[in-house]
Amino acid sequence: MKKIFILIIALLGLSGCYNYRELSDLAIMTAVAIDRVDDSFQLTIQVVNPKKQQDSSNANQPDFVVYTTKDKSLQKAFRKVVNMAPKRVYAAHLQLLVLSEKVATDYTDEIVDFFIREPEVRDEFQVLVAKGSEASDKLEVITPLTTLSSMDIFNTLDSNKKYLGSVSSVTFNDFMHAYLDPNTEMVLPVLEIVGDSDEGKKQENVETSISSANLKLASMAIFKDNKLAKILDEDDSINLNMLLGELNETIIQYACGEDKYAAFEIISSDSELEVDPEKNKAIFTITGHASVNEVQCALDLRKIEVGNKMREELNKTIKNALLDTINTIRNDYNTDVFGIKDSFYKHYPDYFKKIDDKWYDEVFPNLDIDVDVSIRLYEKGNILGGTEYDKRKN
Amino acid sequence: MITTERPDHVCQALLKGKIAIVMDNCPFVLILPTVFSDFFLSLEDSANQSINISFTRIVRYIAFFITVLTPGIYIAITTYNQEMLPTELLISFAGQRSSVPFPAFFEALLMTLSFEILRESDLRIPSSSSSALSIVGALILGEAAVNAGIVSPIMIIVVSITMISSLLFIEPDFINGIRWWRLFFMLGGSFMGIIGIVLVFIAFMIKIASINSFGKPYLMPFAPTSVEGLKNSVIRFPTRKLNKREKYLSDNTYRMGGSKK
Repeated sequence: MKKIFILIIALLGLSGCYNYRELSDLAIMTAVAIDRVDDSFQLTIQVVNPKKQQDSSNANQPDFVVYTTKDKSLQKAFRKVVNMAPKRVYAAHLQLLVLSEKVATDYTDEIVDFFIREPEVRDEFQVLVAKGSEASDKLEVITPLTTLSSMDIFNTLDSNKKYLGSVSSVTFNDFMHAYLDPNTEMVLPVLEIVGDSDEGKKQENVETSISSANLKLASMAIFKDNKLAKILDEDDSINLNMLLGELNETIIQYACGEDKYAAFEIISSDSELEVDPEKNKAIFTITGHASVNEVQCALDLRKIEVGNKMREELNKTIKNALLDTINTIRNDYNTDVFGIKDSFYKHYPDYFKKIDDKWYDEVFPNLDIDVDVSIRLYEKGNILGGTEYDKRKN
Repeated sequence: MITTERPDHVCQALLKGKIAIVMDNCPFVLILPTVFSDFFLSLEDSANQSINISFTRIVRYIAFFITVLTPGIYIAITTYNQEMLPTELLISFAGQRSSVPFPAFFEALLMTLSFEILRESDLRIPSSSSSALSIVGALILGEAAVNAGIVSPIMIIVVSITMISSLLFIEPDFINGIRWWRLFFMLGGSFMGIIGIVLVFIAFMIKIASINSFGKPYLMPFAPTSVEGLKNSVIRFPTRKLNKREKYLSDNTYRMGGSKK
């Protein structure tokens, strides 16, 4: 018994408090932006100021502090924060990684290598591309509705993904797998500043009801051979996400009359890709439900034919938009972000071996890509006739 | 063993098949053997509906683990395993800890010690002045210590939930045991983080599984498992189902009023 007791005491004592770090010694890093300046990496690190969260006597202090370091290697640059901060940078709560366009184009190898090796960070943080020249100023914007701009970006991404679908969330884990897999191309959401970025860094940005700078997440960036190829516009991004099956909800509108529009909310959608090597064909099948939200034309939805016609019109609109997006991406950038090559690899491995080398030269540009949309209209709203129609009847 | 001054408690124990020792010049009666689950029973149990009793028993078991584990887990998470907390919570913790000069372990020790002093003094003085004492303890110790920057508000929450949970248990022996094990968990947490908590928990299970109370295994209805005993442990079955004595206490397992087939 005595021996065991001594053993337990020794066990506790000899561990030497390995990895002991008091909470007040940590600088909690929530976001990092990586730029390429003068042949070295420039890191912009957003660190939470915990004192501000505690009580109102620190009201004049900023919510977060931004440190900027620069070095040839990422690790050296991260460690250099110690020169300026009184605490050690703690990376396990990293939520955002923002890459500048230049870094996303030429230096994805270095980024992936560093973050795979780094044991402290989780691989569940979001990866974004910053539109415009620099990634650093995106993290310096002081946002009105949330205290931390990283939190603001994170939540915007989340709500956009849920309700509009023009961005999809890409965690580092997804990013890494797409990077390592030679058959898939990466897509990343895009972060941009609307307004004056210099004004956005001042505290006044949250003191007026109209912020002079706001952060916006509204589009996707497509890659080719792990290099940034193009930042899509908002509609193309929604279509891309629908094709990839990443879409939860979105709004689709089409012209039902002269200067009159009908708007539909897609409640759920799912996408399935089928490839046929013999006919050299790939078909996307989009299924889902939609509800009628707005009808500016005079239509009587009580009649079944009208409802059916509306559904056909909706499916046609979606189909044309999707085909448009596919052709733009294919013809202008020749990149297979849809995962068609991967589908060949999974379902027809023998055929895949034949086409692997000449995929982008011969096969992909000539592939017959079709879209089959069958979205069903479920809810038609509380007024079936529509205001225009009901008014005329009375 | 349990000490008691209540005659009905002694009667109940005797009917269960236990032994009661009555001595000259002593106001207490000793009841033996006593197992772990006995400390979670209360005397009113047989007078209430079984579903309500089951609820309060589950609450008591939860409270036991809270009172033993909470300070240790708090220390482990804030000093070693910060990645386990959600980011917002961590930021809030960091803000509260930022003005406290002491390590988390010392802080926890200070607060539990001051609470023990408070409780002990509460027991000794007459009940008329104990409410004044509670006010001094709660307000002055809690509020002023936070304002002075000696402890963090979150530590007050941790210590108070720990101590409130410990008030559910009244046997002095059991409270002493809880107090020691809480200290061990705090030490484990402060030396090795969550791993330390797990190691101490293993030691805890080994220890209580190896105790014998007058020849009867301490974890009796759970391990070695007895189905009859489990009917009246964490969950209490309706009284009409409880017509047998627990086998480890008596060979005469049929109770009075129980069906003899």
